[in-house]
Amino acid sequence: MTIVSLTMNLLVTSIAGATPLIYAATGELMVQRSGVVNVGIEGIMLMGAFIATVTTYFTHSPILGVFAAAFSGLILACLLAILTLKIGADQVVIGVVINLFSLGLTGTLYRILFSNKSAITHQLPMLFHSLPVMSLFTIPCVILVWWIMQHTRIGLEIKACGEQPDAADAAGINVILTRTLTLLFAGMLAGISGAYLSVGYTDTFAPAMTAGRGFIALAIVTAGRWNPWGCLAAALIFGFTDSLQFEGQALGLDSHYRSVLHTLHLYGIAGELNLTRLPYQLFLALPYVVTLLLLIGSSRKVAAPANLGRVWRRN
Amino acid sequence: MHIHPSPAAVRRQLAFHLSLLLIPSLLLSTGCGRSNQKRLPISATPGKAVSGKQFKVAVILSGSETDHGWNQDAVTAMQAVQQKLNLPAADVSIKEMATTPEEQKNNLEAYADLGYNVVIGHGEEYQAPALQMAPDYPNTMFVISSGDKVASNVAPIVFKLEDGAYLLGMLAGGMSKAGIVGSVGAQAIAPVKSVFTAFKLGAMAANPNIKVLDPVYTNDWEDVDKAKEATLPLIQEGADVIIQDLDSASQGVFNAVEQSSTPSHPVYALGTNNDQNSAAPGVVLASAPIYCTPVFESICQQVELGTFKPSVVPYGLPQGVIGFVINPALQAKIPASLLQKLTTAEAQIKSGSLKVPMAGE
Repeated sequence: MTIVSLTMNLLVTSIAGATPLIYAATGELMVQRSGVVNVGIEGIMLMGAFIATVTTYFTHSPILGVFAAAFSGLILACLLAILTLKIGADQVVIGVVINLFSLGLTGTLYRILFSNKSAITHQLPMLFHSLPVMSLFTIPCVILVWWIMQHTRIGLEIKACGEQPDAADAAGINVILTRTLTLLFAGMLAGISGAYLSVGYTDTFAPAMTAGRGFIALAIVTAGRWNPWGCLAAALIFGFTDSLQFEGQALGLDSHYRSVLHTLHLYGIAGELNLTRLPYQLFLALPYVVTLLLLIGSSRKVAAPANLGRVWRRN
Repeated sequence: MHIHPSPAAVRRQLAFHLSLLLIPSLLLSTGCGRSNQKRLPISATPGKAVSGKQFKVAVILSGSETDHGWNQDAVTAMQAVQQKLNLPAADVSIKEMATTPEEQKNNLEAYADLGYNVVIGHGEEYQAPALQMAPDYPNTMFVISSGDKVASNVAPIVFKLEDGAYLLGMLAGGMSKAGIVGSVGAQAIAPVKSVFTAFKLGAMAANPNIKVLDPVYTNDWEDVDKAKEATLPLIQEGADVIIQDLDSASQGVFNAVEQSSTPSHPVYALGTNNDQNSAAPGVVLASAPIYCTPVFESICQQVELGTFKPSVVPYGLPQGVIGFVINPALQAKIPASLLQKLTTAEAQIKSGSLKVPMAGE
């Protein structure tokens, strides 16, 4: 295989892996700028993945599946908004509740609907046999969020709610409404992100298939310093290291490692340490290590929104 | 005016809350029900016959009874046992989602206390607690799927998936035009590694010059997308037949293969643990399923008669516990000479003249 095709393949799989993170993180970024932390993003994604599969299963249209997933994200975000913004419950606790609720509900419904038949459905087309169509829409999504946050009045209001809700309130901004609308928008994006996993990139749903991507999206928002382009970069770096590690495993770096051990006469010591094979877990940990490094290294100049995660009530 | 707590206090509070994030991941970590230990060749003497009235059987599962795989197969097998032995439905019990070691131990104990004659722990994780409590319950036979140790009333079921994997390997070696094959697994635990080793032996038996790429692991039995991401680099490396051991996530492999396969350059996949031929009928050449029914049936029957003797003799192709099923939709693509070789090898494994090694042998 030539270097060119290797690079092309790496690039495409990086984008494919980054796509769900970009959707989820850009939404979460807006929510956090408004002063709310939506930890339930993992659960909303899982619900979106499930709803997309069910809708596609019955209508044979993955496009409808994506819309239905966005709608399911909207509903869950609505629930989150009522509990955290209206009732004033703790945002992190409610987020965890949403995650557990989604895990249980999708697991149960999956069992009822697909216990004796397969949940394999139609899927969205791939461009050039490898690039998911939904990946293309991440760029307009990032531009839209950037434009809203930087160049519109509503963007300014969202940021005001996150930094100084009292001042925003005094200036006549409806803090609760602004935060609710932002949360609903982000819920839709998280739902779409889930749909990507089940009908955008593959063709089925499996219980717990999101496998922690929502939490990675949360880390990406912080690593990207609450900036859409920063988040895009962080998501792409994560996607890149993820596909790099699979490429590393497939390229057989393990056998190279063993030949190096042989030439350096280290086989005995490696045997003592039980390291005669390159542990594949090292590869698997790579994307997470890089995310951690990004989090540590990301600029301290940009602080989190001052009121992030705090309950606000009008006096 | 709203009073703001100090930033440090907020951070402390946030840190506490973020620790709550760990809860779902803890709930998700379930045993996958496979053995990861060396097998010990010990056997024991037969138990005494079950005299008189009730004969009760239970199975405990660490996962969901509708996982389209390991656990669901055990449920099907229990239903077959109930019909075959003509037991009242109330005497056959299934407990699913015993995800923690405490639950697994408590359920074993509860069934033994209730006087169940056969208690099947469906996974290696039940072995340690069963061995510990077995002396207290001499009238209960503890059966451990994928176990490896024997006591007077603890019996392992050693599944020899290697028999099927060897045949899948032969098929892969014979079908690969590029002469390169690959494998994708979730975790590099002993049973998975052993399956891939048997696959490699089979591939080399069909084509001595075959290149078998190192297995790629995803560390996740549910993440379909990750399975797909792991498969694509293997195909890019030139592999045109891919075996997988991923259960719920295997669809990701099939999807990657479907996407990469063209009429001029066909790419195929292989199924394990279940008959996965219909999951992607255009690309899955064959599957090596595990059938729990014959083992569960024969053990229960023998325990009832009092002739059962725990041993570590593996259940494979000859016992009908491991199968080899070619996808009828793709059978025409397989050359007759290769089919002939496969039939011969299958017959040899069944008759015992061809022995496929297991891990550790």
